[in-house]
Amino acid sequence: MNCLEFRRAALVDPHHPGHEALEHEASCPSCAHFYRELRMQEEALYEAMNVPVPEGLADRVLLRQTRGWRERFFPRFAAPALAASLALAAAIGLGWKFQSEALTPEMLAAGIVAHVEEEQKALRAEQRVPLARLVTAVKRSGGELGETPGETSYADHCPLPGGGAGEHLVFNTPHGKLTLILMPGKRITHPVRLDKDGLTVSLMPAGEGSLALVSENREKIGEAESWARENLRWQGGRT
Amino acid sequence: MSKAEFEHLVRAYSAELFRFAYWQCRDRCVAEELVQETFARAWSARAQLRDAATARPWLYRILRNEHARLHEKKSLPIDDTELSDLPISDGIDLERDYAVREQLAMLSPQYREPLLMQTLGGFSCAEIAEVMGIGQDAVMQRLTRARLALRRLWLGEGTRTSKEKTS
Repeated sequence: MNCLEFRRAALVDPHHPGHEALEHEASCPSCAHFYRELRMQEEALYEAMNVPVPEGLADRVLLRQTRGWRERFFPRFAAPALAASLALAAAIGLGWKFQSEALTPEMLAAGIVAHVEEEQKALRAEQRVPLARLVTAVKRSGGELGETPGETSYADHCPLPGGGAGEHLVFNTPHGKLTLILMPGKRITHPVRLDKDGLTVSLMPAGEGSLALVSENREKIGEAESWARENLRWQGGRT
Repeated sequence: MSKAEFEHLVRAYSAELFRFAYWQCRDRCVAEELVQETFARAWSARAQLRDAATARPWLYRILRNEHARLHEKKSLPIDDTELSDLPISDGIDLERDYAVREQLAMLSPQYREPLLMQTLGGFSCAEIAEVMGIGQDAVMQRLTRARLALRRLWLGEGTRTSKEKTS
């Protein structure tokens, strides 16, 4: 094998250039130098490609698929989190009247409470989310962000009750944690407030969809609503 | 394929599929959606998978098709990635890491895809050829060209070749 053949083999597969190629490398200082550099390049390339995978990705894939399996037997809104809720039980009792896209705001609010309870890691997180990431998350949902109610401690893309995905954000406010869930595809007919399991959720229309504010501090939910109205703007009007 | 086998596939391959998807679109949210859709379609089409040993390239093929389909439907928001939104590896030389990512992003998809499959997924040239629907020679040529292009960026356009350096 000559130098040209060696380099060709090494560039096709640096980790497995072949026995002959390695023999040539051992006897050719120039190719050995080239090969060292190439392997350094490969290591850096692997590190760069190896982007962090979102926590819980496999679980979310399985969750959505499980929902699909359950849909054969239950209405589509029977997301695992909602299945436990009284609202869902009532709906089933009504004779499978509703379909997934027709979740009532009350049922969606109950689903949000269950979601927040399930996603305890979101409340515990202290990620110090950069403002740019927050702005991007809101923009992705079709909105614009003014001031924040506090430092953002968590931001992630999350599955929503009844299907679809939204942005799950948590802020550290002077009154405790405030969860904001942006749901660009979830239209609601009217705003709703729900107290459940020690959490207060406020569901509000937002652009082409809706948003949910969740707090453990029932007294301060009105303040959070005011913040959302003043600082989240959507195409076609405010929150 | 049973539900248990499907779950095994999800747990085994969702991470690497996410990384592959990320480098297709450079958007973490879109990448996750692509992975979700890939597995949803895989489950729907599970009857097509006759040999469990070929599940991995089969999943990559589905993901590539999903990405192409998404491109047909709408333009992906690949230009609004905030610098601070770029994921970074822990404890790595961040500047170098960032530079390599930018260089990788500069490669056209036809060169980046086989490189990703080989470097991240450990695919052989034959497997890459099967996933991409091209010949092995073409795969080898693309891998070579991709590495040469990255090497030029890596060393700087005007830099001498390694042969020149050592001679």
